[in-house]
Amino acid sequence: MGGSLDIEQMPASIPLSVVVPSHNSVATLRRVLAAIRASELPPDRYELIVVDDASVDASATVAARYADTVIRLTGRPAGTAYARNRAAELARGEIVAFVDADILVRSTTLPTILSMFGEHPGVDAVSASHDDAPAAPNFVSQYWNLLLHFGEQRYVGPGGDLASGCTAVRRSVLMATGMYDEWRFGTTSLEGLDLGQRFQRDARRVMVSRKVQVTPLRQWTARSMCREVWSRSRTLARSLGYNQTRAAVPSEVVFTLSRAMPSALAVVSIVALSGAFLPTPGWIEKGTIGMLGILLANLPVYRFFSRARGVAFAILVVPLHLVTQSVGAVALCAGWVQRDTVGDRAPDAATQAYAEVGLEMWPPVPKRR
Amino acid sequence: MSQVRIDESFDQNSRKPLVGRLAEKSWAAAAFNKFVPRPKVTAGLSVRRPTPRVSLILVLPEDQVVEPDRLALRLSRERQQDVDVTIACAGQPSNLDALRRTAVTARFLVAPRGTTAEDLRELAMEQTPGDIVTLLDASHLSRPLERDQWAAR
Repeated sequence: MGGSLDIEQMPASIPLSVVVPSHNSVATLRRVLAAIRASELPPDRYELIVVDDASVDASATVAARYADTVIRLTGRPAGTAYARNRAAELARGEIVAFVDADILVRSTTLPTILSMFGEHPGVDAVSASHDDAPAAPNFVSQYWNLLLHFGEQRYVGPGGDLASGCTAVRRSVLMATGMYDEWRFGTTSLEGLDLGQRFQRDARRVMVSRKVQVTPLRQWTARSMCREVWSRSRTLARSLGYNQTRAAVPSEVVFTLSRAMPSALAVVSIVALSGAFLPTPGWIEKGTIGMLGILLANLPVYRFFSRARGVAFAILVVPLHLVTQSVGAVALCAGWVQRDTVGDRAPDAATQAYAEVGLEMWPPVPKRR
Repeated sequence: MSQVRIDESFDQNSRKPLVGRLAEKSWAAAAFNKFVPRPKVTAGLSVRRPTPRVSLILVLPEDQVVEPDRLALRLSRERQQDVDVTIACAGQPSNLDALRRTAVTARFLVAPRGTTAEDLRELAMEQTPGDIVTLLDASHLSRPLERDQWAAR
């Protein structure tokens, strides 16, 4: 045992490597891998690599039922960026498709992605978008996944969104760009946005296809959704830069939430100031006017929900959307404060020390870009 | 496979570990305990090592026969890289002794007859120490021998 990897001698003879990172995802992993194996793409045209990121559940054994290669990472969970990079290093495919462990691909997804690369030789990455039929039936999951779908369908930027849960990249380009940033994006989920920004900076072409859609499986609760919004918004403000990211990737859900904030704040401020000039400042009238302003600012989102799930659903969404927006706004402010006080994200001191020394070990120490 | 069939197979498959499921079946328990080594080797996985342990799992379903010379050719490549090899069979292949002689250092898991290829993969994974595990179906060894010999060069 104790074998070494001879990556250089591995033949790159297949068109596609499908990479699925998994951390305690056994609830959805079986369906995700079965769907990949049910693809219309012949099995000899792709390999399936699953990275088990220090799971304490049966992810590795479930993965073994379907995968060609299983990479087992031990110790503490290292995060999606790290797991994807380890798989990309081993991948033999000319194209590497990253599919999240809670994303269900359709039987046509992989062949369509491959054909897009074939039809557009200048394209360096292809990203799928979330469909409008999320699997989890509860209200919060429907709201959140439809919100992701809304952003991806309405706002497509020049950098493309490489954070959709199903992204395919030319392996040579991924390596040349420095892969995912596993140093800064350990356990947070914006590594795809960061990669998209670097692709844009290097004038790489990213194609976001509205035709290639995938189904999210994860079940969200109000608590888990708010935590996700908090994490994404704070990391975006702290590490990526709000305006820069918005210009490159306007479809990110943080911008879908924050887009209405300036106009809503303006209306609320005007109403508050008007108290100084109105003869009888009634709080009910002022509150009503302020709320109407916020509703008007969010009108495109509510109209979308009304068309997708009906008026009753859209009405129920209003308070939840306001709460989500408020969490996002506070998290953005927290991120800006952190950026200006403690600086950018970095791994813990022990990891930094190991990296500084250059210790060779498995699993390897996260690499600084 | 359609989405409905995927969902059906998902529901039918218990999430309990395969070892537990096989051990519950009285008809399989005796054979299972006889042939499958019980100690798990995954305990040491949390220890950091200079290089990853690399494992190869070769899956031999009941209806597949692998010729020893093909197996030897495939394993000769793995020996060069010091790879841990596990061969998981459903039932006893007719040429099991020949396979054992060919792959002297390999770990053989002989599961009861009727064990599916997916269950064999899961069973072997539970017994395999590798950090990087390649799973290979026996059908991959049924390619023309000339191609393998060419690749071995």
